[in-house]
Amino acid sequence: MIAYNTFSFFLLYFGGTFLLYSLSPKKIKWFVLLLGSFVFYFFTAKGHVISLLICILISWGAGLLIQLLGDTMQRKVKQVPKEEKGKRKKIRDRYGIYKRCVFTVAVVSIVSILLVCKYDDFFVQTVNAIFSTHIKPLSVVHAVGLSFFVLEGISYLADIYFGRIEAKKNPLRIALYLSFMLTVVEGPVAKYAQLGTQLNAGKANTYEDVSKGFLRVIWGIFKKVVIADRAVMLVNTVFDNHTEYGGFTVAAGIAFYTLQLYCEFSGVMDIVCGLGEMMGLQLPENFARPFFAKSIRDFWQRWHITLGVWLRDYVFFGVSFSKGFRKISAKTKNRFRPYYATLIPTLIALFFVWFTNGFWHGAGWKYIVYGLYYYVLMALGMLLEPLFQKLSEKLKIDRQTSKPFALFRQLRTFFIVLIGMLIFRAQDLKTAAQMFRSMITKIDFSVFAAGHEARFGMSLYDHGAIAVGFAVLLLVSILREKGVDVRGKIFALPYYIKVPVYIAALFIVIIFGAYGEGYGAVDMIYANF
Amino acid sequence: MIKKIASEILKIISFMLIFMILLSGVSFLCFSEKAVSQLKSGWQDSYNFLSDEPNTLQIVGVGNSDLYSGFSPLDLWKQYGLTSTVCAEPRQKIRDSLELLKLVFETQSPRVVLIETDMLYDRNLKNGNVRNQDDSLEYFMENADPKYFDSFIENLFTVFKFHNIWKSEDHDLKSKLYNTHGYKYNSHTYKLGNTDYMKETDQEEPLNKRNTAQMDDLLDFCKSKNAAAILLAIPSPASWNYARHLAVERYAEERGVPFLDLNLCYREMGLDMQTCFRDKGNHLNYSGTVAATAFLGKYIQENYSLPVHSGDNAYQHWDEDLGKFEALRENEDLD
Amino acid sequence: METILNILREINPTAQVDETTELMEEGVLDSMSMVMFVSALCNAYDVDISLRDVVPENFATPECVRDFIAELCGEEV
Repeated sequence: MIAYNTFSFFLLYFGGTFLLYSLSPKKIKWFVLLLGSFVFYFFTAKGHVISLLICILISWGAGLLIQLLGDTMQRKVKQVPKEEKGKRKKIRDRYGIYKRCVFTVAVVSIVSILLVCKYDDFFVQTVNAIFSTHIKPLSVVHAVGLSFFVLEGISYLADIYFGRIEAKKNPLRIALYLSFMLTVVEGPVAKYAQLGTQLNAGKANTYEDVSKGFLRVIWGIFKKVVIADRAVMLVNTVFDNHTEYGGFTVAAGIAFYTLQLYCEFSGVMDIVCGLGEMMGLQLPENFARPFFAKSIRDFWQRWHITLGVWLRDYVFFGVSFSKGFRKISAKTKNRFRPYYATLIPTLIALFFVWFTNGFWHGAGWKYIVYGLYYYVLMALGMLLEPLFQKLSEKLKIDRQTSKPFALFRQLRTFFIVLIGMLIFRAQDLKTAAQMFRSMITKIDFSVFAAGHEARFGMSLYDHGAIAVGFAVLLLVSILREKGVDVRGKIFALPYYIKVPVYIAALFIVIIFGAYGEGYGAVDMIYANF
Repeated sequence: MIKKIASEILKIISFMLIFMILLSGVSFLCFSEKAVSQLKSGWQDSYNFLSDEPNTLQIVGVGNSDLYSGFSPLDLWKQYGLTSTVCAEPRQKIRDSLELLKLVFETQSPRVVLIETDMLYDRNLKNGNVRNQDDSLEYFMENADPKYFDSFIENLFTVFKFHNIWKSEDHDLKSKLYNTHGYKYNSHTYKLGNTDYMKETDQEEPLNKRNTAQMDDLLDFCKSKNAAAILLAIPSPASWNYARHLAVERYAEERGVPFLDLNLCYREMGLDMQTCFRDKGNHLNYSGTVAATAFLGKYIQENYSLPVHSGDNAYQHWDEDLGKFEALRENEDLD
Repeated sequence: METILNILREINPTAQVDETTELMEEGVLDSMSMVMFVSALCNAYDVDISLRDVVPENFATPECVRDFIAELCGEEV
């Protein structure tokens, strides 16, 4: 299990790469990154580097082929005089089919790697359950970052296919894009235009980059090691022994899990983005203070942002603009009132988006339900929108400006998200339902009972640490939501004040981190994908 | 321009230096092994020996969680008047055991060293496969294992190892029983169910070359200090079987050290598998420990002429520790 | 132009749009309404707009949209 927050990563893999990168001339900086990334991946994932290599090969090869077909088409079209529109169209159509074939085959191959490695157990079990067969699954251990570099490979090919970027001739450039050490394990999922070009540009890093980036890394480590790795203990106790608990304890378990997942995932993103910044790279953001969201849509534009963007650009638009889909929307146009006529095709496309979202998160029905849970709520919201409009007019609530209404929306979204987290974390759907039931029917205050903290694997001091950590997190989030550049302000301080601030922050993390004796090892949650 | 870059690089380097100096200082002053051993808590029990008077310990045990759940120095003292200590932490490696042993011998001169053999199989995968290739690439990969680097840094700046001291005033029962000399108390009972994990077989489970090499070092160290080494397997159905017994038995024979496999001695110890474990057959509970300790004590008494110290004024604090331990055990909150 | 603006107003009744409004930048259209918008345009002008065409040059403002459609149709819009 690769963990970013180990000394070997920071000092050896990243440290070595960072040093070489900063000292290398511009032309070979990209190669330094590639070398560092491959050493890191090979030493930590060992034999599983095969799936990554296959994905790189397919992306590079198919990308070039699609580009070649497109260029050949343009050339041939130009050779035909403008008046012969029919002939031109024929060429376009023919090459269009070739391109589509190559694109489809390549995408299907890449997705198959993912399906075989990650989902075959799930498929086999489902088939066995339905048909009472006893097929044995392959049980291939999937490579680290598989779910992430597969998405990036597909986005690279799609961007070429839709003419947004040009295919790269040098396979090493693509290798760097897909295997980059900072994004390969847990994302963020970056498009080639966002990340690939930057990686190959070899921009020099400045003192400001290093200093501000480092501060962000410390912040990320704080979130993960002080808050997340601590909260996980209560979460595990409640969820692993869920039949013993109910009421407030289960609620606390869910709330702590939400905190744990957020701090862990966004913490790792801070670490990764901060390290990138230290090398002068801007990785795309994955989080934007999600719990300030006012609706499900808003939430998913603030949580795992790059996944949302990927789903929007490649699944939603891909489905919506497909020929089969256009036919459907043409049909609905005449059958329903205008609002619904445009809504229904959108809802159909959204189904694919949310199904993919859920399914990508895990090989299990629980995850599919997780995605569809949000889909159903969102669809309901959209379908009932005209009703809500009339209701708010009658109650004379101005939905845009009313502050209490905004608060209501935030709370409503927050609770919806909490239930989603229950589904996500519980062992399976049955357990989630049982826990939900026991939460509202059983009376259980054990989480508040004095002296019983130890039962949750945490001492009073651990709770204290979480409370303080949470308070700091909340303060910084509010400031940032208001647009305050906290890091910039700290960087602007004179050197003799900055150093103590940085060192104090480091020591807080070192001393109050939830690691070592007394704490279980916590795998990075999203890195299991 | 160059001046600016130079001053920036200087700032970065001086920051790193300041940080490292502070790390070392803080580690040395507040978070060292010595500081930890003086804590009145069950934390980092493996360093308990640092609080003992020099040259008073007769027996030292090294191993992993099997050992600290299976051998109780205070019970050994009660029954046989012999002094001992346990230097064991969860998943402790042979290499770490050797380091701890070296530290012990700086202030103590024990005559007997108990070495728990579960450590010999810590690199084995669950499906029974062993990473045992002679392949030089494999060996290179193992050597380049980042975990070694991590523990190197942890030992260089001990603040990383012991940073949790600030939490040590625990209300957990375990930690109240301080000065148990390395034993970690637990009285839960887990009904194991039927298992014939020591059913005889011909197949040996091969030992990892790495581990045997490190164990050889450990045994050589004991020899160099004129201490008698005993290889010991504490009962643990979840992590032991006959195949392992055979392999370790042969290893012990080849090295000329005795091997006590308590997994074959339930009857002699008077233990019932249904009541002596505290978890899914991985670790003994207190009643299991008492029996195992008694059995070991008898063996040591019969085979090694160690002076008995009960009643000796110089060893009075052992009686005190025992008294405190028993008093606290009686008031235990039966959860 | 009027047709285009009417479609926009139908999709997003609360937004104020004119010929130079930045559609994505100013939040008049988001991903879902963009699809609805393109779909409505296809119906209104009987053209085939594919995903390749949905780029800022063509859809940044209603003016760009008009020019793009004009090119597709080969006539004034």
